[in-house]
Amino acid sequence: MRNIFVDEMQKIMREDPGVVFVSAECGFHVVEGLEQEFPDRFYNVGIAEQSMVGTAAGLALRGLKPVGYTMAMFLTMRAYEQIRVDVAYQQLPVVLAGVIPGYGYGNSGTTHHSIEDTAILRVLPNMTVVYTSCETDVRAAARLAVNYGNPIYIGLGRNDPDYQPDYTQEDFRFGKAIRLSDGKDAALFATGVMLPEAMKACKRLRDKGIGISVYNMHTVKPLDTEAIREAAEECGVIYTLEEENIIGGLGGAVAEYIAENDGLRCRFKRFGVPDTYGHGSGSIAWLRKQAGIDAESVADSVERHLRKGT
Amino acid sequence: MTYEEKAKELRREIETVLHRAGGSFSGGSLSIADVMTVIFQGGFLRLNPGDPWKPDRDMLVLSKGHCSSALYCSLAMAGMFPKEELLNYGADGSDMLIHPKIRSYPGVETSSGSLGHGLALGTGSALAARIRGYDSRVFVVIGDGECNEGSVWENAAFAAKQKLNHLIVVVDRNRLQGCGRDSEILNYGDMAEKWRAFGYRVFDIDGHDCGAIEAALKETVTWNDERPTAIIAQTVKGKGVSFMEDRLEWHYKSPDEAQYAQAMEELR
Repeated sequence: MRNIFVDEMQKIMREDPGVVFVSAECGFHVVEGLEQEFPDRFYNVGIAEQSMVGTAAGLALRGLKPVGYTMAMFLTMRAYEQIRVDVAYQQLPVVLAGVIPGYGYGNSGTTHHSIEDTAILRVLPNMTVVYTSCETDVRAAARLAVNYGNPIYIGLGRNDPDYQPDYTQEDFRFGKAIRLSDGKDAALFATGVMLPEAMKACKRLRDKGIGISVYNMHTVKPLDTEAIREAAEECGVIYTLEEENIIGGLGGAVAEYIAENDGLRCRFKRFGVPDTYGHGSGSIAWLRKQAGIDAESVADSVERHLRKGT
Repeated sequence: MTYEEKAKELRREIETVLHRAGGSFSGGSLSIADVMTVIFQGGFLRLNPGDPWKPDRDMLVLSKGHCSSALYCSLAMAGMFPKEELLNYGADGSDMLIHPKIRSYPGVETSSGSLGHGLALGTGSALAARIRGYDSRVFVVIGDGECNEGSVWENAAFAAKQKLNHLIVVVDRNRLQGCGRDSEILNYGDMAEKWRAFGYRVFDIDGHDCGAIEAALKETVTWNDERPTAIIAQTVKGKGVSFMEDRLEWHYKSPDEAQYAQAMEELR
């Protein structure tokens, strides 16, 4: 989805002279077109994430609309304190684009995985946290983000060209989940690259006579609590699915809401990376299988949970 | 009034604020008093009290945010807000945080307090000014201890590569940081050489010689060099108050009644 994001940004930059793109040595064969078209609004600060985030915040001090773009794990963890102090605390309109979060770098290994970014970003006051799932999400999120006026992180996972949901950019609003299917047995809230897996799991379950409402919970913060309430009332069972650590992510956010709202009587289970770095080398598909977050594992777990309660 | 008299007045204001609030950081606030005086009183930082946030403004980023008393007092003396506001320093519920908060008062350009952040913010601001075509100057005041932070050097290289010659970095070279002397901790040695190596036009001067500070700034604003400027201000922590000068404990201590009275006597 990074190519789509950069493509959309290039279009936005033609229309809006205030948008400035800042990269930290990321985007080989992705950003060159943008760089060539806008040599005075594209900057590569080098392998220096702290410098990138601080510089982006500095650009925002004078009213420009900076977009900081680099690999998700280095952006969010190497420059975390710059995100906290320079962007979130100062509440500056900086767009932070995290390239390939989750397991998206596959067998590059654990240093290149970003399974903590949701948890560490949503704890920051003033921060909005979004994960895109498809081209429509990316283009809509890019356009909304540059005029959002507040700090925002967008996780850009790998695109699955086979996954093309049936909604338009106008349906995408930060903080508002998009319902993709209707089922009465359970609701599944998925975010980012887990949407294709969620829809595949939904189909497998439908073949077994189990109806699932799938929601694209692209915005983890602020949380669409209306959608959670709707799902709890309709289905009585809620699942969450994310390519992030099980602790503190989307599942944690939904759990916090359910636990504090006595009126919501529902069963609940999280799917995510089971708090481990220990899966070893592997492709994205293999890693998802190990974590139990691929479509087949999720469908099997949901079926078991619904039928046997485990 | 001469720079020297103005600097004494600034030091008196700083000690008054710190005494009243029980505040720390006399040492590093007094060491930058002369530099701050020349920047603010010499017209190098062109302030607009009536329109303090206009996009093409000059900016001063106090990256060594713990020395905010020097910033707040300089801004008040320059007429950016009434001096009575200084009573709010560190007070419950006030916006005058010891480590400042962005735009809490006219002229407080950034939040600071976490070291190693201000240079990148200043660089971004200088870059924005260039993109927009503004004739804006950006001053960034950083500590020599702060230069321990790697983020300073990440961004120092970027600003030099971008030839941001309207970026003026002042390094307060007082050689005394939170737990001891620079020479005992990382021993940065020739600070000027380091900035020169990163591509800066360097003025290595006595940071308490207002004439030398003014000369360096005057030369900088001729813009006859494409490099950003680094002024290495060789200073003494606690400068101007005899019992504070070059004493580590005045990074932390607050002047009690007797110490405050003596300080004010020495700064008359």
